[in-house]
Amino acid sequence: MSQAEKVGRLEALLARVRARSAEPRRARATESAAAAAPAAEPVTMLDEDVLDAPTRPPPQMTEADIVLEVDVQETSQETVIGVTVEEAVTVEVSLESRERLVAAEPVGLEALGDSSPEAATEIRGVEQESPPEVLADVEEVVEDAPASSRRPVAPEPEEQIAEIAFGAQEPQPPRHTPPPESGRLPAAPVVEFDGDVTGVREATPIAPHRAEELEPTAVSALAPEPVRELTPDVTRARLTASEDVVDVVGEAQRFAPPTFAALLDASLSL
Amino acid sequence: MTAPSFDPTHAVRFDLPRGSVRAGGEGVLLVPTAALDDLVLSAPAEAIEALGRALGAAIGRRAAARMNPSTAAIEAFVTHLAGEAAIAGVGALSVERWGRALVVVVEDSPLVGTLLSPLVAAAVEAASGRPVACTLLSRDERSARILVGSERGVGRVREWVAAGVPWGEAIARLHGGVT
Repeated sequence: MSQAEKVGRLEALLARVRARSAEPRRARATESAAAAAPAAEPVTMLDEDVLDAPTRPPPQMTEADIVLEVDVQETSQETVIGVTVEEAVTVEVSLESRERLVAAEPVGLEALGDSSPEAATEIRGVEQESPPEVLADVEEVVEDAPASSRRPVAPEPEEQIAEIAFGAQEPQPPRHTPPPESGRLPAAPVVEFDGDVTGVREATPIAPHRAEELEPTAVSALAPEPVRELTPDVTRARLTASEDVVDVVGEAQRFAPPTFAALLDASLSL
Repeated sequence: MTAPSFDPTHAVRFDLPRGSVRAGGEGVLLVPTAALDDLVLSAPAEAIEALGRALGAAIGRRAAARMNPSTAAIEAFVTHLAGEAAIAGVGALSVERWGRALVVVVEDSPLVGTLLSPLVAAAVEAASGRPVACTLLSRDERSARILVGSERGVGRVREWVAAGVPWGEAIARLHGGVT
């Protein structure tokens, strides 16, 4: 399939989706109710047994496999991401969509009165005769599995295809999941980023300036630098010998006896 | 000026036939030092001082015979006095001058301090012909220091040293600010 064909097909799908979305819902509901009028006969058989019995599941309808190949080209130069979507969509999944039933406006009896007055009369009778809780159960049963109202199955896959093609809505997480347990949160997964995308790259060692530094630099780049022991840097003054340092104020001892007798006399005089 | 010398030739004569020893014309006796130590330990202070003075007087007289004490220089006096003390076996004698104070130092002496102090005083008196007083300043295993002075000055220093004053400070106090 060429790219032009793909684009053409996608545009056709888009046009069909827009056309369907432009149609009034009431008219569609009336049509579907009219289409289901022949099957409305079982409604007149509502009783206790019918309400308690499980609703008959819709028929298993599997649509042909839809293989959609989308090639997305980014504006960047080299990045090309090819996504291949291959899904087997079953009608059961689409029919179980509760959102569609809730979002649609309820079809009043007045709308049904024109097409099948007998069925409307029967429904009114049931409403008047049945208690409110039974009616609520009936409504729930009808909303959960509307086996009596067939729906067109063709537009459902088209809408899904459109959503997949244009990315209108991401798949929702499963409902009614248990609340998260208290306690430690799991560690974040390790994510590796591409350096070409983020621009963060590992620095390369700087080449030495001199040839003799090549080997020590290589060794130091691999091994951590050891802690150096601190050694004092001693700065000593250079003093030259000088005779002018001494400044004699007076004689330390003037007494200098010439003879021993004079010394003895001085000692005896003390 | 030539250095003074001490001539010990024939200072001691041993007369073996007679069994006598003579030094400086007088007889001497070779006495073991241990005997003197026993005597000092048992004798009274006056006897010890008398013994010391007798030993010192003999040394001083022999030194005075070798020189003129009144005119002899300090070196010459000390040389002859130390020579005679060495012959007697008292020890190596020298002189220190602390200001005006005269201090005699005796090294390697076999005698106790209480015997050395009167010995030095008597030796100086006999050699110089002047009456002096002495007191022991310090004594250790090697040397002893003896102050030579007047009776009054020596008495003051002895009191200071007995009171715990270092002997160097005591000598300084003795000078009283006079250098």
